[in-house]
Amino acid sequence: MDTFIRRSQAGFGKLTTALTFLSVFVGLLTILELKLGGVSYIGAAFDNVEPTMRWFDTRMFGAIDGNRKENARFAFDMDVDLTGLFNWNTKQVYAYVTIDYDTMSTSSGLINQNSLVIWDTIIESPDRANLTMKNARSKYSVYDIQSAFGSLNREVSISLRWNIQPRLGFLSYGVTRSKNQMKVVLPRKPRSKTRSAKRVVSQTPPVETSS
Amino acid sequence: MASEAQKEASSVTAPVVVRGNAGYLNPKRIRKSLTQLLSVCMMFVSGYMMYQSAGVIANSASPAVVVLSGSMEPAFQRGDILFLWNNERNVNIGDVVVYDTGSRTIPIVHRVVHEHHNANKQLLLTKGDNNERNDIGLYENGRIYLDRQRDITGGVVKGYVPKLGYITILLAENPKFKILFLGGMLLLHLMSGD
Repeated sequence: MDTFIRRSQAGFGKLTTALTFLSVFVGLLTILELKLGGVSYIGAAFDNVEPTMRWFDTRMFGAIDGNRKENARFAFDMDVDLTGLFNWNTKQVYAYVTIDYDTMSTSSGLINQNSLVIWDTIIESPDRANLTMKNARSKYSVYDIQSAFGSLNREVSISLRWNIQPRLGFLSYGVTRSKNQMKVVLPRKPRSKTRSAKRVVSQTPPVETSS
Repeated sequence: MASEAQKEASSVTAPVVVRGNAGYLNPKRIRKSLTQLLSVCMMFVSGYMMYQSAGVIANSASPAVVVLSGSMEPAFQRGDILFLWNNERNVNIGDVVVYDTGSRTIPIVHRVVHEHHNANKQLLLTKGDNNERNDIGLYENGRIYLDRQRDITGGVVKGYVPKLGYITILLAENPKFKILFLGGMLLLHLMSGD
């Protein structure tokens, strides 16, 4: 009995150590495989990005102390193939569209850098990783720290980012290369409480990617 | 020589019952038991030290956490273990962070969906993948943002091991399992000590 328990304890200890090293190895191998697979060269094409602005006065939409907050929603076309993000250790891919823009902080005079998620999806199978969407609506209504969002003629850029959730190991992140450098000028002010805004889109010529 | 003599003496003269009592009162046996006790203590202390050292290196109040709720499904399920890192000055959009709100004792694991930063500070809005709404309802005192320096006490999720943490959930939530588990450990230890 004595030797049996001692042996099983020692065996269990060895097993734990071995599994720990194996997990780290699997994690590193997966990262290496993704890097070699060229996941940082995946391109995404955006088009027809149309913002609409509304006022909201609930806390859920960023309004505090009764000051209403300017919220933006977007319609957009997107074409991207994320099949390359899937391998034997991919549990799911979280794909998210963000808008990024800079502002000047009114209090400190510092430059603020801002990113907001306007749309996301969870992909659990490579069969569903090809995303082609026409006139898709953003899932989330987004707002800035300041109460006015669009009224400063603010220019935002749109991009698709991804996060790979492995079955075991390290989470990895990346951003797709935009085939069209899409910049959108947010309209100046919501005209009414319901719907508003004319879109202004400035689009630089498509940039060829070497993928 | 001495031990041989002892062995001979005991096998010849001492009856079984007396030998048993003598065995437990034997200073050598007592010393052995104390050493065993010490080794068990060492095991617990070294485990605790390793966890705390990892916390210092990762700059995190809890460098490894077990997922308790389903708000991040299907990415994280109940019982999954997450490894955290809290040394970056700013967190990125889409990162999964572990934060504390003053009103709740259990830290929350959710994803960053709004991110604003300048040279001084960073403000964040979070949301669970499996939740319809953002986390503003969870924040304290009518706040609508988390402060990166103040509230992200756990850090950013970097590593993932599925299911292995379920044993701690069972221990915490099921008293019968707790007694069975701890009793079993004790029994196993006593048996291996004999």
